[in-house]
Amino acid sequence: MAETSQPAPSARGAEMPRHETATLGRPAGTVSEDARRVKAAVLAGQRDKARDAFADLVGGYQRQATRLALYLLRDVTEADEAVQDAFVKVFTHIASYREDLPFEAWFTRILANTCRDRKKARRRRERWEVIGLDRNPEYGGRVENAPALTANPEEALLGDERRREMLKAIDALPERQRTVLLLCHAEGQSPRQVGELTGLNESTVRVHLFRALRKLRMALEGSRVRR
Amino acid sequence: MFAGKRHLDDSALIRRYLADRGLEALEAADESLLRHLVQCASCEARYIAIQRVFDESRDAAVDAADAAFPADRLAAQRERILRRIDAQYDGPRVIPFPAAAHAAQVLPPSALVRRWVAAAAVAGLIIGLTAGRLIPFSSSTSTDARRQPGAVPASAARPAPVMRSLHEEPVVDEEQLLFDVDLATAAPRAAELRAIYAFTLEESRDIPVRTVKH
Ligand SMILES: [Zn+2]
Repeated sequence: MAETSQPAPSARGAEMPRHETATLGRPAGTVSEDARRVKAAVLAGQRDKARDAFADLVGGYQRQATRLALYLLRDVTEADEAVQDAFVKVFTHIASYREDLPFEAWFTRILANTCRDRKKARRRRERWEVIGLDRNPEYGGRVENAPALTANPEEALLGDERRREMLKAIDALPERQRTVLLLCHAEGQSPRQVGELTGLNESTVRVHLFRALRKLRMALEGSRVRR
Repeated sequence: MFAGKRHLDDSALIRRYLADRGLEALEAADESLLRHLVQCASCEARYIAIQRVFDESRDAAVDAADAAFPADRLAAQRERILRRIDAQYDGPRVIPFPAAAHAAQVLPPSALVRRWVAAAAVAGLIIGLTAGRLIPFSSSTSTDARRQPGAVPASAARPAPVMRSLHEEPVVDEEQLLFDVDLATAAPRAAELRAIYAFTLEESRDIPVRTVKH
């Protein structure tokens, strides 16, 4: 209960570092362990314990979940909401979580289906729209405003420019190639997992991935030669 | 095979990169590719360049996604999720069936007004159910309109994102989704479901009205 009874700023100060590093550096299986704790507490009727364990679970996996949703939906607000929906579904149906399987696989399927539903709804709303990395003002703006990763300002400028080129090259890929590239290449999902998430068969995923990298190579090679 | 006859083309180097990342399996015939890379400084240099570009592009994509969700946004996201979970707990607790013998014990004895509100909410729910009009968007009407002064929990009184998502969630689709996904095909669910029923008193889809709180 402690987490919602705290205002957001203090919650951020107290907990984000743990979750930030947790997502990047937590040992594999930790979120599965969290999920097991949630399930056990729910089944035992221990409400507060279940909630605390669930807060850990969310904190430990939300960064990755949000990236996945963003890659699939390419819209910050929609990705945010999809992740919320997916986690709520997880809690609601935690009793059906199979502890012998990794939580990530279970969650990712729920999230992918949630994203798919949102995509369908969006297509119905806006049949023409394709939101891109550099066309979505929120996404693009955030990227440009992101803190420089290098300490040297000149290097940072060059680095920013290079990164923008890369994002542009990724954005220019056909939708499926781009999605597959982001999920496999950026997020490290296997072609099989991506096949399950996207509904493509595994060999098609591999072909898209290969072609995406080849196009990326050509685009970035071209831009380097021009400079 | 015959290593070293010709330099490797980009496709071969990309395949090697995918293999290094564990995203592609090299076949036995690709042994020549590996041998060539070891023996040919030029191709090795090209491979290192390709590897660097791809690694940078991966980092750029990840950083861009992470930059779109800074820590405060993630904190807000987590808070909303937890509030929605709390709402699932609170809903059935505070909206007991009027006829239930133990209903009075669930509500604080002094909360006479709130009891009436709860009863009215249940009556509305029953009418809605009876009329077959319990559709997802029906619950997306203003939360504030139904929330009574003084009935707002302390945690909800501070400025915070409105918990509209729970109302907007197409819960019927969700059920369908979960069955489609078939996440636990092999698991005997009956006992678990009974347990979760006991825990939450009602399954979430049965509690679209959950805004009347202690
Ligand atoms: Zn060579």
